[in-house]
Amino acid sequence: MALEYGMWRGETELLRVDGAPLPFSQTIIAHRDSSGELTHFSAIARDISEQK
Amino acid sequence: MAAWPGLAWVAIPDGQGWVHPVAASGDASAYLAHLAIATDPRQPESRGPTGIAMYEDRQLVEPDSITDPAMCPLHAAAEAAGLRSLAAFRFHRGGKVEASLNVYADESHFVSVDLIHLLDEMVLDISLALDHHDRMAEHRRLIEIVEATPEVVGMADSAGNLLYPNPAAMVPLSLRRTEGNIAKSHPPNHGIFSGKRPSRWPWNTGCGAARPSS
Repeated sequence: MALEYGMWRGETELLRVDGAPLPFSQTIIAHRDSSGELTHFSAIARDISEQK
Repeated sequence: MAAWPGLAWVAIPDGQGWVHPVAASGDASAYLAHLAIATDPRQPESRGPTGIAMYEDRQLVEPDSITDPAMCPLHAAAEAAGLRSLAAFRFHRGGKVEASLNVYADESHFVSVDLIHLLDEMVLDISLALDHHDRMAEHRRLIEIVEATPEVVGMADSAGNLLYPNPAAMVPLSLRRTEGNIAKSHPPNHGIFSGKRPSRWPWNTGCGAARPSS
């Protein structure tokens, strides 16, 4: 979705060091160069386990 | 042979319409005490080489400061200091005139085309260095924010290989630069970079409109 729209925002899970999943609210941005070529992704995520 | 430079100094505006020397070199440095230079073109003190270079944003060469009527208020001081010609070059910072470099010789018509070219290149290099310094300072400020935030911030290449995790991403999460692909930081079959849509993700469009998450 980030690839298609340039940005994706939603909930996902990330693994703790011990392997347990944690719920996160995450925004992923697809960055492109001036020719439109995908160069990299950046992401910002917040732990929302206390809200679950 | 001309003494070169008899005087070189850097002028910086004080924000109140006047410029002041912040650095000077040369035997004739005492000459600076005679200067009063305004950046406002309505002020008569702005009509010397330094003022014109700064408010007109251009280099200015004064081939004979003793005979030029525009330099009249400074004729006596220039003659006493043995300064006969000068050139003023402006620095830029962030696209605006930041300062000027003013160089003097004890010989009239001393400032040649080659010398002008050399000094122009020098102030251009310094202007680029000032802009680079500012960009690096801004970069450091942004890095401080990203490194200090409790939110997870990361960057990955187009294949999902982790390029940068901030400290919050490294503890307690399993995001490690050495671990390679960020797919490893998600539960198995989560869909990250697998080509599958992860079933638990709400299908936000990225521009705000969202589908229900289930």
